[in-house]
Amino acid sequence: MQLASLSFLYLFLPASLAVYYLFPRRMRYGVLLAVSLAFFLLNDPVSLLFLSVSVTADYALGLLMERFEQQNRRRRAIMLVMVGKNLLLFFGISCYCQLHGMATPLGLSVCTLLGTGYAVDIYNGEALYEHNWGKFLLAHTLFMKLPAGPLVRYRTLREQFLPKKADFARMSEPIALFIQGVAKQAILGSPIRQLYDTLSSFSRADHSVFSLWLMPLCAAMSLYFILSGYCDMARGLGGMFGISLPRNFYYPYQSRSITDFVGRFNISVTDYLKTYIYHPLGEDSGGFASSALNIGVVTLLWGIWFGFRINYLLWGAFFVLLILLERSVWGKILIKLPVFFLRIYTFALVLLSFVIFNGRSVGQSLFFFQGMLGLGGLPMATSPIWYLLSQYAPYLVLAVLFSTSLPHSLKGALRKKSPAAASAVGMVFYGGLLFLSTGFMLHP
Amino acid sequence: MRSQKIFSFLMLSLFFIPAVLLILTGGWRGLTVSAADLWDGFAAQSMEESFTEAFLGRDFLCSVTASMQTALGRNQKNDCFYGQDGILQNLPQSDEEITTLNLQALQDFAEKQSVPCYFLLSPTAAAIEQNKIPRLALESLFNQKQYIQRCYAFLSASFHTIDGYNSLFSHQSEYLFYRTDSRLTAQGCYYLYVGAGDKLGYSARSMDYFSISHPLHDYKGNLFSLVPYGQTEPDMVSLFHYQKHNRVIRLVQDPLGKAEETLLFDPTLLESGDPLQVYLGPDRGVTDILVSDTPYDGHLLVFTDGSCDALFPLMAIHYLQIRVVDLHTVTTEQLSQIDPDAFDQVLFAFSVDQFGYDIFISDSLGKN
Repeated sequence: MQLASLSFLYLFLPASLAVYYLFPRRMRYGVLLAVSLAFFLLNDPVSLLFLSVSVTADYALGLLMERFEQQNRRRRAIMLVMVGKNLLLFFGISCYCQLHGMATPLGLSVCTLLGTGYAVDIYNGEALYEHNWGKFLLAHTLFMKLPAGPLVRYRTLREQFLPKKADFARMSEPIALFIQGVAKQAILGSPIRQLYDTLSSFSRADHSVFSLWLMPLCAAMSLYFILSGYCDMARGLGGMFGISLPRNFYYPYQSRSITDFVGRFNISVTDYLKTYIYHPLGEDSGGFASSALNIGVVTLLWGIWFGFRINYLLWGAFFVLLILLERSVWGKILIKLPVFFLRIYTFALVLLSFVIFNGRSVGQSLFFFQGMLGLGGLPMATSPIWYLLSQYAPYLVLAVLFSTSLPHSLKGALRKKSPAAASAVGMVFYGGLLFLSTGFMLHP
Repeated sequence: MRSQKIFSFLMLSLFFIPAVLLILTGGWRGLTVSAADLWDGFAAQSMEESFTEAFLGRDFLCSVTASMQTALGRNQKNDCFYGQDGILQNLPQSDEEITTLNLQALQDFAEKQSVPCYFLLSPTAAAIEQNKIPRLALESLFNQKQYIQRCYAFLSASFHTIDGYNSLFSHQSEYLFYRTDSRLTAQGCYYLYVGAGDKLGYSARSMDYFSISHPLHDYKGNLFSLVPYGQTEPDMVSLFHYQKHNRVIRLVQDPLGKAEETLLFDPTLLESGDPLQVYLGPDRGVTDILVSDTPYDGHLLVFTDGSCDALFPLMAIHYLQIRVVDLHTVTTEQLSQIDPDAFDQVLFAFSVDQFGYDIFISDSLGKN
């Protein structure tokens, strides 16, 4: 059951909300745990069993660490066991699944990385030891963040498991955010993904210069709308259940530099890597070589977040190179340029980066680059590509438009001018979005 | 604050309404999740499928979505080109391995028999009605004509091949394929019947010999479920009744087993889930078409895939018996009971969209 599925939208969600708010406030976290486990059970019962054992082990090890509060070597050993176990699970299972063409178990990355962060935090005294197994399990299995995050620090979640009063007025934003996430995925992300899949199924002989330029655009847009759609849904759902989750994307395609882009794309992963790797490594305080190394490690990991493939590693390396160049070569020049130019510069480089991201091998990416530059003897465009464009052009135009902050600014301006009108327009707009998204899900 | 409360209340209601309606209409009874599904991790998927099936207003929502997508310029979805004048399935390149296996199975069959064998491979609407396909998409269409020629060349030593492509193409402006179904209409089958006459040795009757009725005007076929575009006109199901010489044509379903006899074109079948069963009945494995008061004494054995069912009642007027075997549904036991040597001719009638992509021919004939 995906978050953007009919059975989730119209069965699981209303049933969960009804049960959650019918129970007394002090029992609600228990209900949320039951709901999360039910979601897990329906989707991936084997992973539920296996991750519950892992989470319970983390819980027990955390308590053990507390017992050795005065013995630092033992505490460090326990922390290392927790971190090692979680990272081994994360990398081991992800690699195994990728090698065998299997889907990664639901919640694997979210659970194991949360556990890793918890171990480091309690060791450093930045989080309290958890004494409530139910709440510990809930933080790891919270259903809305299982499919695609966002990654949240344990203490941030834990602080929110407090009895809360149902507040209808506060629910409007989360509901709108959830509907927006569903629409992002169903109306724009999936169709553009279809176009991307069609283009990537082309043989070398079928490609043209134009199709090779279109591919990274489709990859960039579909990835953004699918992932940010998931995150909006998670944040919206979190809000409906009284939990605030951080945003994961902040209009990355209107960034003004590559450094800015990395800070706006998959934000929670960037923050996680900064907190647990970049800061402990000393950030950029140790001279150029040291800071280059630190940025390199973090950005490479940011790249392979998407999978263990040489192309993802190179994708990360491409960003490392550009960030370093911006810092030491042309950063000062960029500051003086007009914003419009900076956005074009960043978006063009991001599109180029997706050429690396899209390739199944380095050779294929090189073929894409050559073809894009017109060096592969490919025609400029072919009839099939014009035909595909005629089918998908409106989706691409809408995607480009909605990947910017323009609609949000318009909404803000309307709200400022006439709150009542903004509210009425909002109702019609989000109602319409839900209606259309339902249609797109019924008829994908 | 108040407007936010109203917004929340209205939006939340939208999430609750479908579930409430499902409960009120009793549709929730179909939403079951088995323990096996739960353990195998398919519970969510099976729930989604059954919920989507039971979703109230599904057709309306699908139709609105398809219309909106069309307004945005789309006329291809789920590998189908669609518009007001019909839905055409775009075939990918055929699977060479499957094609070779199927051809080899036919070859092996023909080599074992002494009866003359005939092969009819009919194209789909995408090849015949190219005027309905967007110009820019034509270049990427699968060349069915070339494919048929290649298959015919492979079998030329052991089969008499029937040119269905040209029989249909020369009437391409007529109602040959259903607008919402991948199968041939009765009229399309009529042109195949005419085209096959020379090879099979009968003199095809002109349309005047038939009284044509159109008992169903709102048929929506298998392609409509792929692309439920509300603007596509529904189809008409036509029946060609041979009106000369008072011949009585009967259908016998499962003649090698329970042998249930019915009249040709049972009107009650037009109200069934698949109204096209009206041509050969609901039990599709093996069906006999028997003709009484006929001067002909020929026996024809047909192996087919269900793509041109209306063809065989037309051919029946030139035979005493036609036994139609649907290779999709026939059982191994039924197949083993059929002796091709008991017939005068054996016809294999398939459509490109199945022959090039589905191994059922090789599977069935290989077991026989």
